[in-house]
Amino acid sequence: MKQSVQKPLSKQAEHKPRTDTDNIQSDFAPELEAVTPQNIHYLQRTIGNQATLKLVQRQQNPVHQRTNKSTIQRVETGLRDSGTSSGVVNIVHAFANDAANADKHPRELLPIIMNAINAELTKIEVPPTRIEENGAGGANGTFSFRTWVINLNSERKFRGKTKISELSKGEIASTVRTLYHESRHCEQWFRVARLLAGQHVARQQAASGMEALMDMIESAMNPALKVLKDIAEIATDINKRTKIPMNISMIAATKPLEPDSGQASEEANEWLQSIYGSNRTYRNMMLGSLKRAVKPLTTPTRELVNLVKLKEKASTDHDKEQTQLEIDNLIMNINALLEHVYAVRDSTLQAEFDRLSALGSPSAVETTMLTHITNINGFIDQIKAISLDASTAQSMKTLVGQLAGERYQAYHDLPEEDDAHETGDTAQDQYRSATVPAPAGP
Amino acid sequence: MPQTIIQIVREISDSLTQSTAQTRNLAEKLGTIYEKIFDQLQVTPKFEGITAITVMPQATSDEPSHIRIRLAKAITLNELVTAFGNYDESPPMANEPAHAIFEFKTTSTTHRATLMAPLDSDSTTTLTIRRDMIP
Repeated sequence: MKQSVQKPLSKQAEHKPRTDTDNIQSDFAPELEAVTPQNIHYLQRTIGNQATLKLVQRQQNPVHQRTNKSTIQRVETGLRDSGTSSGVVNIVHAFANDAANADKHPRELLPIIMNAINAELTKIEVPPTRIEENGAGGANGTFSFRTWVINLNSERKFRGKTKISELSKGEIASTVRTLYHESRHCEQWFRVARLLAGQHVARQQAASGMEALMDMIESAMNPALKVLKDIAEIATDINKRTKIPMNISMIAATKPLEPDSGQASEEANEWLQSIYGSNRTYRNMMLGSLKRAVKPLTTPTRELVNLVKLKEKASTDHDKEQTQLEIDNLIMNINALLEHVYAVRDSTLQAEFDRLSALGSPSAVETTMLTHITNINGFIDQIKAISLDASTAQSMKTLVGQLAGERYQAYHDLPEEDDAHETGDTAQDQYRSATVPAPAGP
Repeated sequence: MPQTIIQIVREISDSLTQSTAQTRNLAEKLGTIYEKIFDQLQVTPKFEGITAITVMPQATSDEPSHIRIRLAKAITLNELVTAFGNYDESPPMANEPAHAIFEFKTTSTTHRATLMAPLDSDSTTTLTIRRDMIP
């Protein structure tokens, strides 16, 4: 296992510039449950350095008095271990730079990358995944825990190129990043399943009275059957909760991850809470209802600004009237679309804001969530205050852009996404900086 | 009289969940294979009302994992509920909406079918059927 040293605040800021950090208002900034290096690292990446500093300064004790220096180092787990990703990168780099492969179709890179990643997944006892070419819903790729495949859009990746030699280093690096990022999701889901198995086992062990007695009798009468029965019961439980395939649930049931047993289970618990636990409503909203409400606004608000400019340039009254008609129609359309945003604002966003605000000791993740909701609500309230016409079209476009950007950042900061992005980006950077070995001498 | 889409889904699910099912045999049973992308088989379906079928194997064996079918005409969530009963909801991913999950028995004694339909609208033209072992 490699270990990574926490970057200082200034380095973090260089690494990932953040949106307006002053948006975190002191009224909404709750106290952190604990100031740990992990919390600070996460908050820096998500809500930014300034906001993190504000939160930390509000703690009663300075950070250095509350944290053990030995915990400043953080173990990178599984595929996130940079040694693991560099192994994958070396295999792909060697293949892509082998003259014998130059004329091969870029698609032939995919099994090379996937086999290298799967070998690493196998080493850490995660069931391997597969690529399914299906357009990936217009995205580059997405891991589907329901089918245990990576949906991929290779056309989008290779953009009509027909030979590996035609691909730039950046294009191959980006393909490695996509598959590595999605494979990390595969690892995450399996670890969540293992944690659920661990929780199940812990509940069984804590059982007492008649239940425990029956268990003992069953074990004594037919130990092998009892083990199989337990595995089936745990797998069914995992399958019902997560919707991952039963064969994967069965494997997870045989590898329970003990709750509270260190960083691996700590991470798994964060992902579990985000996807299936207490924070699932927030996640479902960011990836579902809010996304569906905000996304359709981007194009018409941009078109409206263009139409307003067109009307200003129109030379005849007829052209001006025609353009005004189009503007009026578009405004009607935008106002109708905005109703969906207001509906989410008044229902799920408000409910989640209330829930998160009421938490006495929120985690770093929950603090970030509350910050995003606060910012999103702020943008929506500003949008609502605008009476849309030609004079406010530009402001509306800007606010819709900020709202869409904040929603995107909220998705990016979900613990499982933040983790997968970091993991995929590391692999991409490693590929970019990989060098072609000098040809062997005679 | 032509089969309804529900009848076709049940027939495909039945073939998918047989204990001896193998990816290629299954694909040939459902139509004509016209492309192989790695181990993924693209099939021109023999069924009326189905425009495309993809058969995916498991990652580590030649047993089928799931089948994706594309319908000529969208089917509503209500129609699926009427046919397969209530569903569970599974969470979304960044570029994949939440899905309705219907579980149902087939004639197989070893596996059951899990039907998945996206929940980002009231109807869909894409359905996925997964093969799940009965523990």
